[in-house]
Amino acid sequence: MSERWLGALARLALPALLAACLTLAAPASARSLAEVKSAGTLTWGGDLQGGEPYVFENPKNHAELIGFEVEIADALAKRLGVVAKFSQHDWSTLVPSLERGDFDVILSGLEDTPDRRARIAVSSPYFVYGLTITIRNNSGYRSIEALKGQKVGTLNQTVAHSLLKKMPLEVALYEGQQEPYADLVAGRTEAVLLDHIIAQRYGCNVKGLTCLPDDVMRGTYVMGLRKSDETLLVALNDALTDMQGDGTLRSILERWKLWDSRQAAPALAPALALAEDRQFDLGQLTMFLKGAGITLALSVLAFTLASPLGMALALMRLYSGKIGKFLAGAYIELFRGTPVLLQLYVLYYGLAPLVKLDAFVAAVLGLGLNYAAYEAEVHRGALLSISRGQSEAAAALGLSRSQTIRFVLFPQALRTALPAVTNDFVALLKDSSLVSVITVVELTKRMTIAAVEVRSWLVPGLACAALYFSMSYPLAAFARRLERRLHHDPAQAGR
Amino acid sequence: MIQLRQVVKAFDGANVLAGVSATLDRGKIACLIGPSGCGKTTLLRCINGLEQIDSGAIHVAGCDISAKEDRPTLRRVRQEVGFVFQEFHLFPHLTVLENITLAPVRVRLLPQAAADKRGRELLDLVGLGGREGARPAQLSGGQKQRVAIARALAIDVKVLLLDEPTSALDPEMREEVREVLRDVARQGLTMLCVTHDMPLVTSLADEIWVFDAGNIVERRLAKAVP
Repeated sequence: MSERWLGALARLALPALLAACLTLAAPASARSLAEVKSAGTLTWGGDLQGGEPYVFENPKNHAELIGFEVEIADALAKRLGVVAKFSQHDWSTLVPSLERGDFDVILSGLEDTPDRRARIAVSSPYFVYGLTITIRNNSGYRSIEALKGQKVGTLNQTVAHSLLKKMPLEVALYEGQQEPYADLVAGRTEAVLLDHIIAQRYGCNVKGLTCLPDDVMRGTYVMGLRKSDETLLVALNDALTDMQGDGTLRSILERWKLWDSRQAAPALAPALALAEDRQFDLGQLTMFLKGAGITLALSVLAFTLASPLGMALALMRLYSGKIGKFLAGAYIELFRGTPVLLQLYVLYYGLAPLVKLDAFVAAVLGLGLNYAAYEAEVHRGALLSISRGQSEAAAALGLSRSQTIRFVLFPQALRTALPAVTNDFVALLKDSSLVSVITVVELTKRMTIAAVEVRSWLVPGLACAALYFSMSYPLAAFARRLERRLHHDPAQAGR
Repeated sequence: MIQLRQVVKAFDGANVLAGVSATLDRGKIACLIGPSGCGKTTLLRCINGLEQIDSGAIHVAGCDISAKEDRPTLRRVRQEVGFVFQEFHLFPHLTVLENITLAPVRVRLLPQAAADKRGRELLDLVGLGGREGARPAQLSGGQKQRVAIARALAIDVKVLLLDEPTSALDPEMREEVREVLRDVARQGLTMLCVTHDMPLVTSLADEIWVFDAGNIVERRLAKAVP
């Protein structure tokens, strides 16, 4: 289970920690245009997860990267007399990685925003995007204002998210590009607001969905550079102007079916900020406590499901007939052998056409069903650890098998299992952060949102860690006391 | 009270009981002695159904145990026949009194209060009056075995089977258990006791069954010491 938590940690907290360190570290030394030229390569950072049409692996040849940003990078490098080289990074860590000196330029659908301009240097724009509303065919919403009070989906850390936050409506946050539209089809949300590139590929052509023709807002994609790399910035801007002048940019965009009337528009002012310049204040703290409340409620409910189900499975696996043993074994291996993340996806998105589970209910079910498999093995181990003499003594006294299990074996197994069960509950408390993929905003998700808002991972990260600890530690202490009280051998109780 | 006819029991193809026949009358006490591993304990376990016999028949306290698996009969047998283990096997999560009353309440369906009352009487009998609230872990080996004896008696059995009741005990604790068993013997129970403990044999047995290589090789009457 620690592996699963490590996975989640790597996914969520590691970039946070990394970024926290980076804000304290001195910026990397500048790489001038001359250095790029002498090295012969222009290294650009992006994220393959962004997928088609930005940058992705050629389905016919997985070693080759294609996409409109690949072609733009190649064209720019050619004009500098060098070769373009791609560097893979998680999208959310692109800016800190740039500052660290991992590559020369970010070219990855980076929106031009005031707060980004404050931190890094940005090039002239190479693409104009429009925020597009997608609705179900039969719904009557025709503008963003009409969606007042409704639930609207978008991706975290996008301009669309900043825009929606300012509106009097409920926001559902997703991690992947397909999920917001899947939930819209399922009726869990009333609209999705995202860049038109994403909308056209994942939303507008989905059966039952329609995109509204007017953009809610327009913005631009720009390249990001270190502020100190002035000569490189000038050279890239010149190259880009050149590509606009001779039609290279237009032909690239046309090849990817991205050229439209938006691209003819003059350069735009930076879009609204992703982050308002907020401090970590009382309001934030209240939201954190709310997130912690959701984490706790979720974990307690999931474990309330997992614990008895796990016991039942353990008893079935040990004492039932052939079919029962097989079924319990199959359940345990299936739920233990596949990632809980996948199970959450299947419950929430996969089953949506059949049962439209509420996100919180799906989260409780997903975590509960998964942990039941682990609890089953804990209880099975505890039952097996009881000496045969106990069941023989019970049998000799005339107790039936079910009475033996109920009055003799099970109470003893519970005591043996208690430390492992406590351990699993603490693990569940932290694993519950995984449910952010199905739009539940719990403590860890709240931290990532706050980190964007206050432009630092440090304080939100520490607050998040403190809250997790303040929930898990008392629980562990309580379990230790319970163990001492329940333990039948006073000589061992102190251990 | 106990009748054995040609009882055969094999483990992994080797006969541990090679056609044992014997009779023990009501109220009599037999001690089963012989070298280790000769099948004494197996015989005891077969009489109470902890092991299933391969062939032959056992008639005990009015019930017939045969080679066929027969759960209802087995449950009846176990309500008539008590078993005391070498290693006590008390239930560690229950108090001394709860250990004794579990079967009367759950199997005999006695009301808890009546079971408690009887339990206390039995604790007095085994010399542990006042210790009903203790946990098994707080008792010495001899005390544990005395509780185990009280527990076996609590369902008012007609036959008591004892598997080396004193051999897991330190020598100084053996006497207290022997004493309790002598008190129990005076109640008129039929008892079959596997043991190496010669003082116990001489003070308890009406009959001595000498066991070797899976069968009774000698039966002799012993003069019980009052």
